[in-house]
Amino acid sequence: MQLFLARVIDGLSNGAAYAAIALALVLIYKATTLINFAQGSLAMLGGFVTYVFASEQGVPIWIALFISMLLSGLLAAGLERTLIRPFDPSDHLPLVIITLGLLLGIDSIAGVIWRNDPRAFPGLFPDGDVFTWGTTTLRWYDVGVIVSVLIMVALLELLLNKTKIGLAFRAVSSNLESSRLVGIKVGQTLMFGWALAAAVGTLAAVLYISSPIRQIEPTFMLRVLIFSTAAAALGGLDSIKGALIGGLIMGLLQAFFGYLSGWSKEWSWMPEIGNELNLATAFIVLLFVLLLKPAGLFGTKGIERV
Amino acid sequence: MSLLTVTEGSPRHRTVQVVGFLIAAFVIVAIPFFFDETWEFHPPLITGSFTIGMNQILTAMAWGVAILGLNLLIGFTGQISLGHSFFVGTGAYTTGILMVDYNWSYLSTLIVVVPSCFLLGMAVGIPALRIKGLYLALVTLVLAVIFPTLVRLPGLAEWGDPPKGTRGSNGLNVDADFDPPAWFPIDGLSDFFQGLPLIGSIFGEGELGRRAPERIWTYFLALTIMIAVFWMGWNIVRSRVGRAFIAIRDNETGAAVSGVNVPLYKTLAFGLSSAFAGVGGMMYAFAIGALAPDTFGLNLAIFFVVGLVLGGVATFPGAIIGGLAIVLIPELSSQWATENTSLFGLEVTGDRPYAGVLLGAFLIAVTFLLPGGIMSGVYRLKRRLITVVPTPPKGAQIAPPSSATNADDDGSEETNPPSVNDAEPVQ
Repeated sequence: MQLFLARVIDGLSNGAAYAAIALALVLIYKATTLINFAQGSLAMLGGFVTYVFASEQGVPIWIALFISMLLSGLLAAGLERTLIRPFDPSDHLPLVIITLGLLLGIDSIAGVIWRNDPRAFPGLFPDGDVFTWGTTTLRWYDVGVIVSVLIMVALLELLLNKTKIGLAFRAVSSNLESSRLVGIKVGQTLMFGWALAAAVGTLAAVLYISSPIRQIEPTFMLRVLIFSTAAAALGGLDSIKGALIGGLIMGLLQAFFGYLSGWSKEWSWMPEIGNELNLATAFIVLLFVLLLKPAGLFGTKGIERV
Repeated sequence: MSLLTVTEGSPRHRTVQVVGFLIAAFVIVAIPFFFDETWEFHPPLITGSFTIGMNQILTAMAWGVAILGLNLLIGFTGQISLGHSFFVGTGAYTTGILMVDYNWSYLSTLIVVVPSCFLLGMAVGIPALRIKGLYLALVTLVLAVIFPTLVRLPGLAEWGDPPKGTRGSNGLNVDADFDPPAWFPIDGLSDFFQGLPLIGSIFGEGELGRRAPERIWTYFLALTIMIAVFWMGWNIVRSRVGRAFIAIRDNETGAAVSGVNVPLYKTLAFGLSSAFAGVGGMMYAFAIGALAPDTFGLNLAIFFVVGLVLGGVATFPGAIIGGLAIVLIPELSSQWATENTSLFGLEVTGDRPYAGVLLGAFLIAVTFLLPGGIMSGVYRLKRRLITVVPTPPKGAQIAPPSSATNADDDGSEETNPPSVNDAEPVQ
């Protein structure tokens, strides 16, 4: 029971981080029906910028996080303007190729600058535990991550539903041509969408990496990205609520996969690679969701007209 | 206007074709003789001590075959896959295990590699019927990410006694050298190249220029397989099957209305593409001989897409150019990084991924500047140099060729490659 509870806590705190990246994917997908393969890389870069400010320059971590969210938002807006907008949004291949190029380029730039050695990341939340019960511990980090992600979702909902720019964003995501006709500045709105997604991604990366057991290195977002895409697909690629719930489900699934493999004696070979193999959970979830319910749990069902 | 205008089928046209073919054949046969006794080649005109090894050429050939497979899928059928490293890895490990643990000869492993990769590809292709575009890219991306983990699974890494399997993280070593058979005129070729006037000296001196005959023979084995695969690919694209692929790419609904069995051909495209990728992996296994799980990860899968786009989507020579690019750019940039210690005041060391920066930048630059890839530039250049005018029908008045010629090329190669930007040209 204690182990079970520990797994639940673990799963929820991981899941919250997955949810945050899934949210970033959903924002871009809503605006452009494009899956940004470079989302994880942008978030990773944001994480490193935070690291540089906080650890090397001595800026307080929350201010460092704020600065890097701003910077990654600006970078993403610039990328959207220069690399994405020239292409026809309905033709996916060049856009996939561009975002793949960004994925490769940004990951490698980070590798060139910071090399592939892991470094300690300063914690966002106080160290120590809220309570301990046998093997179950609830760290302040777990509480902090889950609460931060919930606040973020609430703020995003407010931003999208109660502000003018949010209205413009929703209009563009529902129909690009019509919103252009009614006088919405589509280009600026899309830039805003990319900036917002990158800022959310940076926050997610910092939340994930500030765990006391993790260290920052240029590849750390790859695994997160895989789980987050599965989470986004599970929740529905155009649903913010779906991203949150999908992320939490993915976190829990991953945790229980590890739980089962530790629990079953016949699977005793699993623990050593269990952590790696649970990427397969992401694959299986992704495959089944796309096959059985492509719109996801909360997504809008696509209607195809011929 | 071009420098040379010839009429299709005229003796002059034939001469141009034959001369082109001879030059290409000469270069292809001469390649293994360029390398010195340590199997390295120092490219002229480039300052610094860059070397290209025989292994890089062999790897580029293997990846070229894999990129051709990817081309069948992305370039000709219009389905995005980011997971081709999975099939390449499967082919490579199948060959490796059969050769090391079961003492099969390299060529006989094709009997297993081709059908198994074909069926695996079909298996991935069936869900791909419901999953389109971006979603498909996502699923196949995950496939690429999990391959290195699969190879390390204890059940696959070792089984039986004596142990057989992928050997997990230790890697699998395949004996890569083959003795050339007696009928192969290896000494004669070497003597011929060394005896050439003017350029003979770069082929070294003495018997075979002191090169190992096994490596030369390995090159020709790989070359034969590569030519066979390209020939098959060329025939597939020009056949009924290939026309169905292209129809699906250009307009899926239109293809279905015209009687193309869309699900069948989409799955078939996946299967064929994976089988080609498997053969690429098989070539890598027997020519390079060292297999490690992380070779076949997400990076390789992305590199294949980079190579495909750099070389030219839906072109055949583009696959080879792409294969060379994704091998040589990383190799040369890492050599550069080992030689140098600083760039613009930044510290440079050999273990940093400069190649990824370059390839990422090239990928984006090509998508913007040369959407048809390097081959589209080559075709443009070729049209500048030579124009082929179609034979006029008998008795027709011969009109002077207009400047906007519809002469594509000399008919030995391509149809017009569609650019990345307009994947749906309405023909």
